[in-house]
Amino acid sequence: MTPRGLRLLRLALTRPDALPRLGGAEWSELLFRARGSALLGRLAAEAERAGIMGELPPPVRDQLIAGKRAGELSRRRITWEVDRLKRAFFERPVKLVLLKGAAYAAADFPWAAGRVSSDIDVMVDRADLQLAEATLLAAGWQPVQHSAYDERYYREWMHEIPPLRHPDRGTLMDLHHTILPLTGRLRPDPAALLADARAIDGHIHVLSPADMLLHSIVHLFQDGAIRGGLRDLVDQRDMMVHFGADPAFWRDLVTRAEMFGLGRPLHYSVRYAVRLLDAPVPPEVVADIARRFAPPAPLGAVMDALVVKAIAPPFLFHGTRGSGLAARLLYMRSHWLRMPPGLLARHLARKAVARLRPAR
Amino acid sequence: MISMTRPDIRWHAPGSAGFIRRDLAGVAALHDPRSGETHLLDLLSLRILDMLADKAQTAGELAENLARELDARAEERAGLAHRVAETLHEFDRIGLIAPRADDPVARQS
Amino acid sequence: MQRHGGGGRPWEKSLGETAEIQRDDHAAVAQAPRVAPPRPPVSDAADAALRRGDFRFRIGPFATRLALSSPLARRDFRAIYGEYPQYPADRAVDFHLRIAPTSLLRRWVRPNAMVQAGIGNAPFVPLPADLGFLALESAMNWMVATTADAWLMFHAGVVARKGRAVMMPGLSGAGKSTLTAGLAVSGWRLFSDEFALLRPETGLFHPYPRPVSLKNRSIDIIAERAGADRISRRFLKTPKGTVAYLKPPEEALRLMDVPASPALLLFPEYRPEERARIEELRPAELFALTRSASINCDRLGETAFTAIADLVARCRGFRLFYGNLDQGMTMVGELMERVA
Repeated sequence: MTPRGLRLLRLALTRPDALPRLGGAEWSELLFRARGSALLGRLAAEAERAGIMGELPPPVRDQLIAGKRAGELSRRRITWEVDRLKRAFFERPVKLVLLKGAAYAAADFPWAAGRVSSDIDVMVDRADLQLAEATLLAAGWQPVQHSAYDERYYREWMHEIPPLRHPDRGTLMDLHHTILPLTGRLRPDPAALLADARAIDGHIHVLSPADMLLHSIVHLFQDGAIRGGLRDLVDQRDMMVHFGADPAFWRDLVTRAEMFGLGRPLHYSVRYAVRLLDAPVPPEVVADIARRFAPPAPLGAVMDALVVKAIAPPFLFHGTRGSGLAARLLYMRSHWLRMPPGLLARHLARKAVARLRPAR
Repeated sequence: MISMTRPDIRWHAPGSAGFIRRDLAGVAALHDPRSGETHLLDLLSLRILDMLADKAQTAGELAENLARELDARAEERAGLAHRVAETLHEFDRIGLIAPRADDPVARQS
Repeated sequence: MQRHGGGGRPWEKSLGETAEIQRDDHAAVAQAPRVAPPRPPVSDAADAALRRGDFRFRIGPFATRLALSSPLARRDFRAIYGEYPQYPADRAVDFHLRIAPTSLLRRWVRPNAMVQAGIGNAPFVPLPADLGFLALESAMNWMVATTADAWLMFHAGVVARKGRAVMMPGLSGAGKSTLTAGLAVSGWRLFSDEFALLRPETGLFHPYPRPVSLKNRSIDIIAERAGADRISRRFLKTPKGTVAYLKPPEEALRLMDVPASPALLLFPEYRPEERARIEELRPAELFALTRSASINCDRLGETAFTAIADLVARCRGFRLFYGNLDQGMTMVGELMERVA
């Protein structure tokens, strides 16, 4: 059973024309949850596309305007940062693959409208990493301060050099050479991702459709953050809609998922995009993916309960009990997939100790 | 970053069609929607920007054209060229101008 | 989360101050003598609604739904916000605020109160429960400053007379609040002491009349003019010293939906050792100063640029150096006569 908050958001995504019929209490809840899930801009974009803004009460319109402006700001910041990236790499032929929000904006996909994200993620070939890092530093980007332990975590165990920030702008840039950390049990080959990347502007590339969806899925179902997860599931649904019109896409998706060992997360994404957000995935595709990649029934049932609870953002005045615990359980699972158990225990202990120190 | 000592670089203002300006009694407020930044430009800086928006030029070409337009005397040209170089450096830093990528001279370097 | 480079905007400093007031200063507050607040008119329904989390009140364009657990905070709230309009449940809520203890234990032992608003990365930290009202005020400041982007906002006081408004940007502590409060109780209509709301589509200021926060000596200065019954109890030993709130005049609340057009931009500075004077600002200077007082111009991009350029074009701007409140108020009045 889908929690009420999810139902309102699903309505906004699938039937925005029905939004004018919502009452004040429903709008209050929808706007609250949308803002909490970074979907307010998307809600505004849907309302505009459906041509219903004029039918909405002024206080609702104002919140949507604010959401729209947040989306525009985000898009502008990301687009400008990519422009500065191009400038820094002028006459330096490094293949730069944009990921996630920066990719969606640069490729002008429909779901980039109203989308809010604050960081730029860029992937380069491992062989180019040093040159890329040096180029960015020479152009004024600076590494964000952190402890020596974290620096090692980033460089050796995760898939990133420490994040960079340009002091003129403050936007954070993450430079990757792969999209999964090296200490995980799964080892997708980054060379395959780079080989299939599509050029959109000079050195600037984006992942292929199948890889783009898989990357978003990896981020949702194997990274630590689940609270922001609903937005990622929405992104995934959007990609299924946009790319899914081409049957070759689904074949590529399964092939690539198998190749990278991402079948199980793909199954979860499709399952929850369909059940929670009415994603129009062809039933035979859903069945095929389930057949190949579904977990044993008991684990599946656990995930069903956990994900629904953790993905629906709680409402302040009648929240779902237990979503915090669910999110924590999922966080633990993500880290388990990512780091060997010994390392995991040590890492979590360090993080726990760090949190006890007085906040900056 | 491109050093200002590269004389062969042609500069242009790819975002100029989108710039929004307001005159503030001899000072121009200029908003670049791409960066979201607002700048205050004096008349000389504004002229330099407009010249690059009209036609991509090297620093040298720009200084020459400007000197001709302002009817600069011989002893003023060095100062003007210096001012042009400074302005180009600043405009590049804030993103109002960029080196032109399809320039055959630039590609050779 | 939005990350911003460079600091120095007035609103960023205001957020820093907000965070300061949130810091749990147990020792200082525990020592502060408890002053019994004046008893507000008894309203069991309001009190129950606050406990339940169902109390809905509106200030200008923003409707808040509030849950307030501490009994003293509820008394403060009803004393200070008692005259504000409520709104029905079918009006969409702008701010959901729950101010409650962080745990069952902290309900009874060294009771505390923490703000929850459903926003990630909010800088709310627990405060002693008795200061729940202060937590509410700083939470609302933060919510408006970070989410109300249908408006172009400035960190400024705004008052109006005969439909023409004067905006007075300035950092807190520069005397802006006292000057605004003084004008508000001397025939000017209070729009706001902290947040100027400009509608980009129309160029008009809209009222957002929050209770005016007064510090230390300003409390007595304003109490003298407004009447002690318009001033809240004193909150002692806050990070900013002693704080109290001026309840806006009845007219300001009654007309909280009536906008005004801008006529004057003033940058007041309290300089008792200097000669009182005004300096008119040239357009470029006025543009730069006004823009730097804006809270969200970066977020509003082109819309903000145009709106600020328009504002500056239709107003005259002055720096105003004054030595005492009466003098400052007189100078504001004279300038308004000159331009309006």
